[in-house]
Amino acid sequence: MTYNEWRDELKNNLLSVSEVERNQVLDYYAEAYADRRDAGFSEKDIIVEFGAPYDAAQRVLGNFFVEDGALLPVEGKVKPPKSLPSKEDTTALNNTRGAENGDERPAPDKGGRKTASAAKLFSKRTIVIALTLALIILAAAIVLPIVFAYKGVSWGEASPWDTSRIVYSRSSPYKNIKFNIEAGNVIIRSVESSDIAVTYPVGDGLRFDGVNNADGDELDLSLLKTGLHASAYYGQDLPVMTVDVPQSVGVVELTVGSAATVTVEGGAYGELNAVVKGGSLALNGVNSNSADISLRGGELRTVGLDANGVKVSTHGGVAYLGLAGGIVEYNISCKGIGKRNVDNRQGFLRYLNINMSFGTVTVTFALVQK
Amino acid sequence: MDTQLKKGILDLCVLHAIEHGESYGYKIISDLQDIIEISESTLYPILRRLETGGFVTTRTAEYNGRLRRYYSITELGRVKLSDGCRDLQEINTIYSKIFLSDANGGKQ
Repeated sequence: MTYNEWRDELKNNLLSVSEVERNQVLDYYAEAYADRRDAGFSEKDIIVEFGAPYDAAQRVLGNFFVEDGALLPVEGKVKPPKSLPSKEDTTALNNTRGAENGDERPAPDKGGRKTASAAKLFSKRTIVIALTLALIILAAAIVLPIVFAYKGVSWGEASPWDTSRIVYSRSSPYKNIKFNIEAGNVIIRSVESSDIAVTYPVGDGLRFDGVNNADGDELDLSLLKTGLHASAYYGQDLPVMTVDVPQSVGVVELTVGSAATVTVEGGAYGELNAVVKGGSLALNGVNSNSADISLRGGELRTVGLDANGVKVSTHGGVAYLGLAGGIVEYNISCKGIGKRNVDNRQGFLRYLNINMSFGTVTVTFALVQK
Repeated sequence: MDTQLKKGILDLCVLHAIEHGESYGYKIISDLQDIIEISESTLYPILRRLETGGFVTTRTAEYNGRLRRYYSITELGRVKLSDGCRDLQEINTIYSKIFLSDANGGKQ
């Protein structure tokens, strides 16, 4: 069993608690897992240490039942642990209160009244507690979304930079996230997942940033008619990303980090803007009115790039340009301390291969003074 | 060990683990593993309960490209820890008086 499978099973066993509570438990285990991985434990060892997901869930739930009424499951699907008294037991416990020191008979309360009045009092207290809890839950439902919004954990709220309809922002790792969005603008932010798939048939813009680039992360975007803005968040890199935009007419902006592998398959774009700092960017069969690519490191590989104007600024890295046609302006610059000290240049273009069916290619070599 | 007694002691152990500085879940378990048996599924409700009771506060900070939750003891938590230690000493004294004196008496 992998950790993600273990986590899914734990989640399934926590369905009886509120979503907020469930996510907190899952976040807790995610952190515990990551800390153990950092400490050098294998995935298998960690799962063994965590124990069976069902048992872990039962221990957590059992402690909630016993310790804290505010954490009671909201749907009541999970039965209380056997150590808990049933309702009848509770009544019996009330009736026998005072018998703790060996008394066998029920003890009267201070007013000399017997257990019936105690039960009545208990009943009133239960009602008061229930009403108080209901008020707290109601207040939490109003206040928590506001609090979380300020903490960057928000949903269902538009971002200031766009009129987006959906903001999805979570800091927890997920496995196999699928977004099926029919309309509207979308921001997907600060998502950590081993496999993210987004289907986005129509709309004006999709912004995807804050992707955690854990090992093996993959982002598969299938976009029918939209633009895409993808960039790293908090200095992280984009994950391995495949963007399939067969009929896109929007603007595509990509920032490719050092560990990213980004492939754009097909598509006809209004603009294609990309900054490649490392990793690799592949453009296969892409058609765009204009393309502006800044290659600062890593690798740029295009196959059948068809654009009216392609501008590639190279400050480093390796470029393989396969062009279907159009006008290409290729600027190669490298950083150097001085004209005579070109050998000290850093990260300039190492290889350049251009294959072009027709059109014009202008290649300009320029030395950028630092 | 009795469940309730163990829970009370675990509360004190966790508070003790963060008494001299903030800590996080895995470190708390690592610090306590030589003292008392505690698992993740046991620690989580304890931390939640202590947080709800105002005995610890939490903050989330970025670590190694991810978020980690740190727990700090509050003044109320220090009072609870102090009271709990006093109770344990009292229990220890009672235990010594009852059982150790019995044992000594038996020998005599």
